[in-house]
Amino acid sequence: MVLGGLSAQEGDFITNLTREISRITAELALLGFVLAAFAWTICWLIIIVPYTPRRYKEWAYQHRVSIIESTFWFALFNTIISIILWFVSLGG
Amino acid sequence: MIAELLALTLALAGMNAALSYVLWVSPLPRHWKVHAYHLYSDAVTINILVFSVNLVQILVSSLAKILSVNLTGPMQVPTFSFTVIMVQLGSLLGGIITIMMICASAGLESVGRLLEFAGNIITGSMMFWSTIFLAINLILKFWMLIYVIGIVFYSAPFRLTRKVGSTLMSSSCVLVIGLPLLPDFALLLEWTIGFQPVLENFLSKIQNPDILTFPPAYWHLEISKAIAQILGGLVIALIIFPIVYIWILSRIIRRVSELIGGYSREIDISRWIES
Repeated sequence: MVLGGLSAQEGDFITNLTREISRITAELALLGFVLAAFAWTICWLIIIVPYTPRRYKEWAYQHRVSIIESTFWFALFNTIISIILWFVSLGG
Repeated sequence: MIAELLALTLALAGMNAALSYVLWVSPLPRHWKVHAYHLYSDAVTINILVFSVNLVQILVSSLAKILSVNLTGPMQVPTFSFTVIMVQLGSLLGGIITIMMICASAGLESVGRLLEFAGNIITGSMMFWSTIFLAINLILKFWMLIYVIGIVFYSAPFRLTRKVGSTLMSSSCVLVIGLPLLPDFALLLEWTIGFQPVLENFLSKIQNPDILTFPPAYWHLEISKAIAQILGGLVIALIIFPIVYIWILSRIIRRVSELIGGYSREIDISRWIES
């Protein structure tokens, strides 16, 4: 490595690392959405099935709210980042 | 390079947020879900850090301007002060070597050995100042890169290398302001405790109308006192003060990094100095 700069291989390493992390992030996000949909459906089933014990129904209500909340915060985070990156790309 | 590292940091922030989401919606025990909170807050903090890099640059340069009134300009290599310091230390070393040679030729080995110790200290001090000069050059060139590498370490998931990251970030900011001021501060201290009192003393003597009636022994004593004072100031300002100054800087680095997100004991400069 030349002091003050990076060789082409080292630059490629960081770019590839960024790309890999972005790919893993996208897969994690997809996994999160699938899990959220699955958990939400389970909660919904617990709520609509008659004669389910009351404490299970309460847990399902709470969990459903928390799933919606976390999905909202995650979507908000991604939206803000996307908007900022869009502005950055306009400038660059 | 910095843009690539910032892109990597943003990718890591996104990964933190995605991991937080996965942990949150998974059927996991409650103590695992605490990590989801931490991951999400870390992702937001990392984004703020990434988009405040320019703000940090402006903040550091304005702080350096405020601190460097009457000293070397903000964030510049203090070449003149460094040259003055090295010339002084070199002259002192030259003088000591000359006296050592005289002592050796006169057969006074014990005095020579004492002076050898002083010579070693001065040589060590010159090496120390050269290292400081090199460090100033490097930190002025690479402080932003070190800061961004700190953000990358800071943004690892589950706070794995958070302390190393915050220590790197605080080190780069504190050193880029503090280190270039060291030679000027040392010379200022030397002037204040060494040269200035001696000059004031001699000026007051010259203004005395009976100056010509003073005996030669009195002048001999006065000049000896002046030389001792100047040498004492030189030793304190150029040999003892830099070590104390760097110790103070390392304490500031520690406080700042604790404020940002934790301090890594593995790269603690103050601990090296204390040991």
